[in-house]
Amino acid sequence: MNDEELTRRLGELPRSIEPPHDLWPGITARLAPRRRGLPRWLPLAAAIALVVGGLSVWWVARRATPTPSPVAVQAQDEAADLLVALERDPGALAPATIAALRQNLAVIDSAIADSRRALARDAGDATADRWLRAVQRQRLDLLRQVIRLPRS
Amino acid sequence: MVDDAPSPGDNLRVDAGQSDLVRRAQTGDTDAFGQLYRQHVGRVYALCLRLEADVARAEELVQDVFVRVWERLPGFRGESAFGTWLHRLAVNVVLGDRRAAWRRERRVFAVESPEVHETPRDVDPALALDLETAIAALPPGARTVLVLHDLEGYQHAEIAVMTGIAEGTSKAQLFRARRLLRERLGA
Repeated sequence: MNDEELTRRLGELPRSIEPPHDLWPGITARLAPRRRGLPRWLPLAAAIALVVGGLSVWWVARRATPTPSPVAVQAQDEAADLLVALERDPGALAPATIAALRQNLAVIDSAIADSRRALARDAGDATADRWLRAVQRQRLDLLRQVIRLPRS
Repeated sequence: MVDDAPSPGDNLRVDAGQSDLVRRAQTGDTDAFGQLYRQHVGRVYALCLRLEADVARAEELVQDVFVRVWERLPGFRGESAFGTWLHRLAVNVVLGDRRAAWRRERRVFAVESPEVHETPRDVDPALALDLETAIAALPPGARTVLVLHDLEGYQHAEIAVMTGIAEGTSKAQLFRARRLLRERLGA
């Protein structure tokens, strides 16, 4: 037998072979139930809410018009894409999860708006710029984690 | 042959219905997981059987593979097709099991090298050999590379990573496997 003949015969072998016995019962007996409980992202969301809540108090007195930086625009775009992905399948997450998400996003968005106004008043305010990017990053992290949640 | 080999998991490409099954199984739906099992068990069993050349061992490994899939499924992000991901996991389970067995044997028999286990299995020359039988009779190292490369479509670089051998060794093992097959089938 030459190499070409061997190659041809190897190519003809079936890629799928049914096992002689039903293996499924032995598998199901070993499947551990999935853990149910609070969403894994909830602690992070709570921490974010605390941080941005504190920031809001600091920025609430600063009033100005928003002028987003290029970084802020990019983060905003990605966050918008993630929200669109969530909205495509609104029934995939539990109502309580969606409510918690909306609540946390509202707090974060308020802090973002405040920081933008502060930057509009003083574009050179490095602290405000740093905080803005940090809060937007936290907003993105929250959305990314929600996107990765197992769907119901 | 080498370049024309199918891509790993080619026959396991995910479809829209399958992504729904995957998502449900990720949340703990064992019925959905059962459907995924039925769709893929044939391909996984063929892989295990050809790598191990032992029906009972292949059945045990198939069960191990699907239990591992269940455990890892929540971490599956869909970056590759589900079938491709499952297939790679199956290869890792089989090879990992083999390494563990070899370590146990090495402790018991104080063997210096796995090469001592690399002798071809005895095959009665009077029997008319079919290709599957000839593959099963190959030395384990050569059989592994032949199955992964020629039947499953992995490249030598990937096989080297999966098996822990050098890429050149993978090529040498494939050459050896094909030579042995030609000799046995051509007689």
